[in-house]
Formats: sequence, C-alpha cells, structure tokens
Amino acid sequence: MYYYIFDVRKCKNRRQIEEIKDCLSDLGISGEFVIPDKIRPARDLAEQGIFKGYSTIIAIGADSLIDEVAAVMLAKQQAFGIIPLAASENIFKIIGAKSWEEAAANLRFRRISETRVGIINEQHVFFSFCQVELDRPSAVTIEFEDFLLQAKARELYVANRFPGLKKKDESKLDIILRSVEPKSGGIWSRLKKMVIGVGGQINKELELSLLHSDGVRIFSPRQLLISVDGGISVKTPATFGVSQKTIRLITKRNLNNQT
Amino acid sequence: MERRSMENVDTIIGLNVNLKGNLKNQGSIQVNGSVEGEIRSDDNVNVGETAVVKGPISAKVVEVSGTVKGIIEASEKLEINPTGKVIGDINVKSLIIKQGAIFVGKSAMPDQGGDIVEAKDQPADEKSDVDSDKSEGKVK
Repeated sequence: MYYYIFDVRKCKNRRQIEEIKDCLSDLGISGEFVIPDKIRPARDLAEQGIFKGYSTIIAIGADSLIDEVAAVMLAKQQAFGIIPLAASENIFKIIGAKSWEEAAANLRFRRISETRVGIINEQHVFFSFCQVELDRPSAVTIEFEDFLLQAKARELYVANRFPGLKKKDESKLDIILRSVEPKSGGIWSRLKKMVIGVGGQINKELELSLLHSDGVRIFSPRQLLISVDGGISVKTPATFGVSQKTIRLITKRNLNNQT
Repeated sequence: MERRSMENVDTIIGLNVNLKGNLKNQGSIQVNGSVEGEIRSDDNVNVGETAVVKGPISAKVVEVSGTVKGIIEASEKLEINPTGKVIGDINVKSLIIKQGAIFVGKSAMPDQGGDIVEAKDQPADEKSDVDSDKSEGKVK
C-alpha cells in the first residue's frame, strides 16, 4: 500500500537509512522502497508506483525530490506523503511536522489536505518558492494580468508558500520584491544623496513590495537564474502560475492553513 | 525580509517600484512607489509619503501622505495628511484635510439621501462632514 521514493543521499549515514525503515515498520506502514538515480529519476519511479496500484506515494528526501514527485501526484487519487530529510523548514511547516519521525507518524493517520502547488514554465512544480538569483541589483519587469511592474531588484521571490508569510489566498502566488533606487547621475540624485547621505538612510521597509497573482511573467535585460526550492534552476524570462489541480497531501491532523 | 508590514496589508508597492496598469482586487494596498493607472480596492488604500499616483483611486478608506494626481472616490473616508498632495476631484463620504496638506480640485459628498452634493468654491471648514479641527490645509 505504501510506496517510498527514498533519496538515501540525504541520510546522514547508512545507519539513518535503517533507522527510517525500522521506524516505518514499527508504525505498521512499511512498504516498497525505491531509490531514484539518473537512470530511474524520482518522476519515473512515482509513475511506476501509481501504475503498480499503490494507494500512497511517499517522497523521503529534500525539497527538489519532493517537488519532482509532487509534479506526478497532481490530480491523482493516490495520497502523497512526505518525510523531509535535509529539507527546508517550509516543507516541515506545510505538513505540520517538526522532524522526520513526526512526519512518519503523521502518515499513519492519512489526514488528507487538498494542496495546490506553484508551476514554473508549465514544467516544474514548487511547494515553497522560487528565488531569482541576484548577485547584484538588476532591472526586472514583472508582468501581471492587469499591470506591469518595473524595478531594480535586490531580492525577488515568487512563492507558493513563503516562510513566515501567512498565505491569504490558496489560488494565488505571493510575489516578494526588495528594490533599490535605479542608478542616476542626475542633479536630483546627487542632491538627495547629500541630504540623506551616501548609502542612504531610507527605511528598508519602504523598499519591500508584496503582490499576489494567479500568474506572472518575469523578464530582465540580462538573463537571470531562478532557483526552484533551492534545487533546479531556470532562466528568465520565466512564467509562474498556480496549479488548478490539487495534490492529496498527507498532513498533520488539525493542521490549520499553513504559513 | 521584514514581516511586519507584510502582515498589516495585503499588497505593498515598494519604494523605487514603477507600476503601470490597473491595480485591483488586491485587498488593502500600501503604495510607497510610483503608480500610473487606476487603483481600486474594497478595502483601504494608503498612499505613503514617497508615493506618486497618477490615476484614479477608488476604495473604502483612502489615506494620502504622498502625491495623487487623479480622481479619488472613498466610500467611507478620505484623509489627506500634512505631507499629502491631491490634485484632482474627490467624491467622499467623510473628509479630513490636515494642516499643510494640499488639495486642488472639486469635492463632492453624498448627502443622507444618497445624492451627490458638490461643495466647490467653499472653504474646507464649511463643508458638511469635514473634520473642522483638522481641515486647515491649503484647500484651493
């Protein structure tokens, strides 16, 4: 009944592999274990698990493995479980567990939460967020349905769930931007610097933007890398959206709307 | 990333950001940057000191500390703070103009029957519903 896609490279040592298997066995939820590799990636293994008739597909590993399996689990009847290993804090929050042991224990109760995920370039899914990699402030344009936003960005995230930010609308992505002043050699700019000092005393909070949309497109004059949940990278221009279909994710019982 | 401001409002347009187009259905909105287009909200719109809005604003409560060049419609209240500058007509239920604020335009207020009452060419403190203690701004 349980089909585990186990990224053993995320285990601290060989002992932890056995420890996890023993724990699942003790909980009475042991099953088939498969290990993804280059020839049999996690996506193929997940499809195989569904084909074999397993009712629960579980990803054991970090964010990138979880995203890869999640892409297959969209709109499937089978439940999707997560045992995070070396995963981001966000993943733990999404399933309502503080440790891999707690995540394993939650699987037993099969509390299902219909969950949407973010989609980038109609190809990759993400549970948490995408980060535009900015080694220096760069001009970006973000196209929303009804408006265009232009800024010189210092930090830019497109999030399905951003750490510490309460999600207000499940069907929308959060766009979080920190912008800087565009370079200008004009007299006004020089005067302003004289008044507020070089480096500026501008309230950093004012530089923060937060918007919500069911889809955005980001483009930039120079190509920028975008990391997806700390894993795979894509380049600008990139299109982001929210899945219309949901995943039947196993979460902790009585878990309220995740933050 | 600071979380404080993120929790208080739904949408923030940050300093040094230029937005062109129509901003609507985004909940309560805080503008600190530049907007060229319409802003429409069922909630509050706050135009910060550093903000410049060129276009109409329609919301429940509008608070202006920056610059607005456009028509403002507030179903509940419009407040223009000392640093605020509004160039455009306003249609509001309740109006507060604080000392130092600049307002250039015509104001209209719906009377109790729901009809619009124009209040042009009158000093601010003679208008109905105007907070007389705070309406000493440069109303032209």
